[in-house]
Amino acid sequence: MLNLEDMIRIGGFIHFAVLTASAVAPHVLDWKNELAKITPFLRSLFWIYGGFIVLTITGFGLTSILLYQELASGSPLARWFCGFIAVFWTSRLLVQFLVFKPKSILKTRLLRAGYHCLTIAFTYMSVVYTYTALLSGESP
Amino acid sequence: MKDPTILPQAALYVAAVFQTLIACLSLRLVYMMKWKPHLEKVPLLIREVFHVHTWFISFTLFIFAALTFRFADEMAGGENIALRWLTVAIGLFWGTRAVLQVTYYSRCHWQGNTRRTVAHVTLLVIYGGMAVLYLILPAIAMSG
Repeated sequence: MLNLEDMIRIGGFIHFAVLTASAVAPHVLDWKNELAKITPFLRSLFWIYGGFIVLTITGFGLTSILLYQELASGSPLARWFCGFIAVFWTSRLLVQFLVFKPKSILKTRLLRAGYHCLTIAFTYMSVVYTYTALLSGESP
Repeated sequence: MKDPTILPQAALYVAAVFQTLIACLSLRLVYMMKWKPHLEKVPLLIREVFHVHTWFISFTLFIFAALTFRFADEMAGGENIALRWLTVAIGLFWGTRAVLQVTYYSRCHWQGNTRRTVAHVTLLVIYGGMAVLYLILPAIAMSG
């Protein structure tokens, strides 16, 4: 039976799986050619934003893998931190359903499967980190 | 005796305010810089990705600010190891941002334009200052 620490560690590895899947986005969306249509500054900003999102997800993933005991401890810091990870991924899950309309690019079975796997990953992380933030340990 | 963490704590509160301001500014950047017509040249999905990235960058900065406001005293003390890691991570985030400000963005965006040059230098000082602050506190704690 999985305990909270195991679920957080799994969450950590899922962060890196999400990053791996996200790495195909620039190719699938043909960023190189499409972004050539906008100003150089905006293009730079687009890549910088992407890079910092990667950095943030890497931080969440590493923290979950290396400091899983601390995150599961229920300390105020752990609960605040998990609360933020939870809001981050819950927001991402909502974006998946409410903002993106990816039908036009999900042309192959592999891309469709990848998209649904991402939805499952976002759901898992939303649930696990929300649970950790709200229901574990002492008062924040 | 005067608490030696008061000054670092005050600096952390200032950093938290800056991060909140930068987060708010990021959310308004498309309107402030009049980028809407430029973004309309790319397909809808790419435009949506850009907006989603903007929201998540802002959200990340709000996280940093909120954690700094809530745990400034412990960050300044440097006794909690998890918090020390978090402080280093925030420091690396801003250090990377400061380096990119100089190395990645082309000079042509600001050179010869006084207002943009002032904005560039101000942002560089803010990003660099936050990097130094967040990286120096865990270093002091470890050496002490």
